[in-house]
Amino acid sequence: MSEFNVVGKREPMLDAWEKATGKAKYTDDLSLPGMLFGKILRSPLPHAKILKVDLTEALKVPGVKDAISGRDIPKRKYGIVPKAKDEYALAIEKVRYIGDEVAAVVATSPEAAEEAISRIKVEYEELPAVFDPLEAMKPGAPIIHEEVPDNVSATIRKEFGNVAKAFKDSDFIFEDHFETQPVNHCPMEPQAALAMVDHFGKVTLWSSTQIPFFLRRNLATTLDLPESKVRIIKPKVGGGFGQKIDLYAKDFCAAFFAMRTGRPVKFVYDREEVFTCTRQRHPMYIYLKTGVKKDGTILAQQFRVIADGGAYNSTAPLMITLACFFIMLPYRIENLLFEGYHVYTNKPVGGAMRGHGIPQVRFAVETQLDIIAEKIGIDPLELRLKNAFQAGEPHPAKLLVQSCGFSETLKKAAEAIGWREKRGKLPFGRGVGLAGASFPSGVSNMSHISSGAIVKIERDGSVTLLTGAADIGQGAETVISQIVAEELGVRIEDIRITAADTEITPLDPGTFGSGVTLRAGNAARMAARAAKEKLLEAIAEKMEVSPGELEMKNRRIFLRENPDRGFSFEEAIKIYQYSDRPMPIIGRGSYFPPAKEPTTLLHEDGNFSPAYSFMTQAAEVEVDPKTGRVRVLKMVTAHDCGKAINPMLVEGQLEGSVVGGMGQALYENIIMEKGQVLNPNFLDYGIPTAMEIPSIESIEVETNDPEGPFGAKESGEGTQLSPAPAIVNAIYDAIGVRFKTLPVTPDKVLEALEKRER
Amino acid sequence: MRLPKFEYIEPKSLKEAVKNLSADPSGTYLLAGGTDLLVNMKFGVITPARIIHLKSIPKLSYIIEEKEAIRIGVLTSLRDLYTSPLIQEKFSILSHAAREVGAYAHQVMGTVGGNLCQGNRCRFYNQSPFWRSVRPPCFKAGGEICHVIKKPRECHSTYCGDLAPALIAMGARVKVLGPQGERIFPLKRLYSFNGKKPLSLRKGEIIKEVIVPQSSGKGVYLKWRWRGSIEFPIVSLALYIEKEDNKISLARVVFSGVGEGPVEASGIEKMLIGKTLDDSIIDSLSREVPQTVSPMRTSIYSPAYKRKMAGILLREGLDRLKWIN
Repeated sequence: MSEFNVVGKREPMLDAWEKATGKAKYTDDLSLPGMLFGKILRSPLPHAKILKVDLTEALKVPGVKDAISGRDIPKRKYGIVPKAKDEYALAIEKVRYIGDEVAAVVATSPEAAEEAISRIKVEYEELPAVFDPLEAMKPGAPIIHEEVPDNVSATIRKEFGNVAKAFKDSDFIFEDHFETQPVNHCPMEPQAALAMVDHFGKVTLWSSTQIPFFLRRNLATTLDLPESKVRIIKPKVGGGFGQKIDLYAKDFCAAFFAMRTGRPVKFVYDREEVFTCTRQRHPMYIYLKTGVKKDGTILAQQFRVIADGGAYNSTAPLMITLACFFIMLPYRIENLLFEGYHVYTNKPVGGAMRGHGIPQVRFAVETQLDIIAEKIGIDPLELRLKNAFQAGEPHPAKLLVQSCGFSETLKKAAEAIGWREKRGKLPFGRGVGLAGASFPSGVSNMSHISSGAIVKIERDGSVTLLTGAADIGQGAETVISQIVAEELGVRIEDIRITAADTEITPLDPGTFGSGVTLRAGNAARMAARAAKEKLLEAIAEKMEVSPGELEMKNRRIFLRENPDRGFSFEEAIKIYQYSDRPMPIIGRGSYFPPAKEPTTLLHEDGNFSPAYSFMTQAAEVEVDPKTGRVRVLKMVTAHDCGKAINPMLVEGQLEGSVVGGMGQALYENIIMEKGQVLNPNFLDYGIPTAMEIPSIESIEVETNDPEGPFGAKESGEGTQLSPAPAIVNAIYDAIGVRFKTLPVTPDKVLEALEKRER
Repeated sequence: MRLPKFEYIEPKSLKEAVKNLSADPSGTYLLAGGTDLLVNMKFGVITPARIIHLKSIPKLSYIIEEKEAIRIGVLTSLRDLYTSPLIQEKFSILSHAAREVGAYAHQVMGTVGGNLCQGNRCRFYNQSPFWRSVRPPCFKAGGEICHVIKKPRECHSTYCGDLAPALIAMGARVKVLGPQGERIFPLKRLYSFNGKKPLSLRKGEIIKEVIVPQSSGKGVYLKWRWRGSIEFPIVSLALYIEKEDNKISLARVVFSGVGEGPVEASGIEKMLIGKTLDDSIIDSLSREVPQTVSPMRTSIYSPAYKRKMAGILLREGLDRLKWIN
């Protein structure tokens, strides 16, 4: 491939300066004249019928302009997965967890709104509640949603190959039980929404969202309006990690109150609401049985996975499906039986979170691989290399893997952590471990999943780019600008980008499933190419050559065979204009991930993603046997991200993701007592701070995927699949204790060490 | 969560502040760094009618060395305390303790006096109005019942400060100004061990300074928490010993996070006197500790775990002081 000018460069994020100096405008920084402030009243009971909501006293508080309960809203359910809609914006007949939305008010000040919700009188009839999914699955357990009498709201049962026979053919069978804890995404920016309604009744909503176009659809549905009457604008968003793909009561309430009062309305969640009333990573019980040959070949795996979904579905069917299919990479597993259950409980709601159902199951698999390696006397690295999937191999679930650097990531991560010198050879208390993973780069074929882009070459030589892609802090706008700049042979500072406004920018599914760079990047590149072709046609005519002989680079258009013959970008635009061609020069692109046998997996097997990324995490840890404290000294993350459009942003993604995985392994846990979150704050919820962060080495294994723009694939989300098992495997190497329940906190380590001593 | 409305007073002198405070002691709160008070006000567990902002009073931030003692002004920031070369050199236990408080922002805003008067904490108390709405208000928040032990009219909220254990171990005294003038008393007597009203200050009294005697001994402050920043101690230990002929002549062992005030383990202190620190003494004393403290379930950590860690901290502390004469 030829040398790139902008792609592959460590360009600072376009809005880095703005953010670092505090000038960037997030939803809560926006303000409109006459704006009202909203507040939501939440259920103090885990499960209860709502008998009566009396808003009278709330409406008497000075400054209060309106108040509603569930009975005042259109009876339209929403949910991010269409077939799993089970939630109203405000609870109508009953509440299902502590924090469920019951009523809402708007007032001229936040103080008045707070005062008002304290005056709302709600009569409940308390119902028996259930807090553990295993209990909730038993006959006779309290029913949380009437239409799901067994509380199992999503299931998957898939068999590939012949599992019973494969177990029979195995030399060794391993059976283990794992448990993972709920963790929160902890975006720095809490969820917020600001709405206004114009004279024609059109609602404009500024929202901290990852998916503006989906939000438009969901909001229109719940408001009972046509989509054309709803406009979503995404301002700066301070992180999402999956937590901002759902519609929340704040979105609905801001819009609904704006419609009722005619005034702009803002809702901002406080941190406790983010912890309790948005989404979290599903806690899971995982039973895993694996059969292997003496030489380490994995013959079969059988899973029984029970996910604690909390009170509502959110992404339930998709989550449990992903957990199934993505456990079939990065290793060759011909025979697999997966039974997964998403179970309602009277607790905070599970949703998509970096890795979406996979990290929990991956923790089980990777921990058990080390158990297997020890038992059959083979190095854990060798065991993984032996079973590593390779590009082009047929996949039992028909995933089409066109590029795969998994083996290389294993080798590179092992080398960087010092595997050969350290594994099993460090003094007591020090150890190394590793774990592998794979993740899709976007989703091939679901409704509403194509990306569009428009590129305009302006008269002064600048370029305007319209994309629907939602930059939520990961740097999507920077990366897509780099792609367009490269295609047009201009500088990144020549690009002006307008993004994520459903009324101005073309359709885009938004930021989820790690597809933005590939999907929106390809669309933008197509649009740039289309604009470029128009310009080249005019220049070719002028130079009396064919457009194919021309090249556009370094802000010049020239003959490839004779680079001295050509024009500057500005001259070329002038030539275009004087040739009586219409201005501006507009190129359009729409990209729909092509896939042979594409599928959502929800109904049948097939190819899920246009490309798959592969990665290995390796950890070195130090365990203090006196206190049980585990310190991660070093993390290595080797990631096959195809071509890194911006290596600095890829590193940022990898490092942030590794730290999140470390949080799940060692520090973070939503602690609950009878459905109440005991630690809904950063004081007691132990998200790792700068003090805990280890030295991180990011190794990018570039594979140049044929489908990705300039060969790019996913980075950052899949990275969070395997830091936890890598760390847990390193802890075993350090102290000889195997943990199958997360997080591995100092008290557990201490207890395990004491038990071993006895 | 927003601050409730209150009257705000900026006195020009400590005397004026005392006068304001005396007028309505139950409705008036003192504000220094605000790192504790403002959070509790936003949570609605403290709702002052009026606030006296002490930082408007000049000359209350100082560290002065005298022959017998050093005097630390009540408004000295925690950061000023631990960056002081004098404190670092002669009172390293104090600089360690101050550096362990919260995170950097707390250390810059937080003051010595504010830290000593930091409110007791409890998992049922330091929560938002929504969180607390799940059960009836607790005794400390104006209700009738203690949810920790499920008994009426008791409060077992826990003292979680970092400075007080270190200062008590150093034998510090406090000078307070009240309507009747100044009085000086040992810092440990500042703590009433009543969870609902943890300080023994009389009506209208304000701490003016802390007096730490010059010392010949050595001390350590060990704070146990899972992260290297932000958190209050799960349990912490201030340990101070003086030796004569390699035998311990004075010992102070003070824990934070295990009781309604800073808990002095006087049994352990007595056992240390006259001993030479060797591994068997350290081992036997450390094993005693879990029985000598009785924390309650006031945080997300279990009492059993706190007791265990208290013993581990004493072992670590004594190990560190073993070789120091």
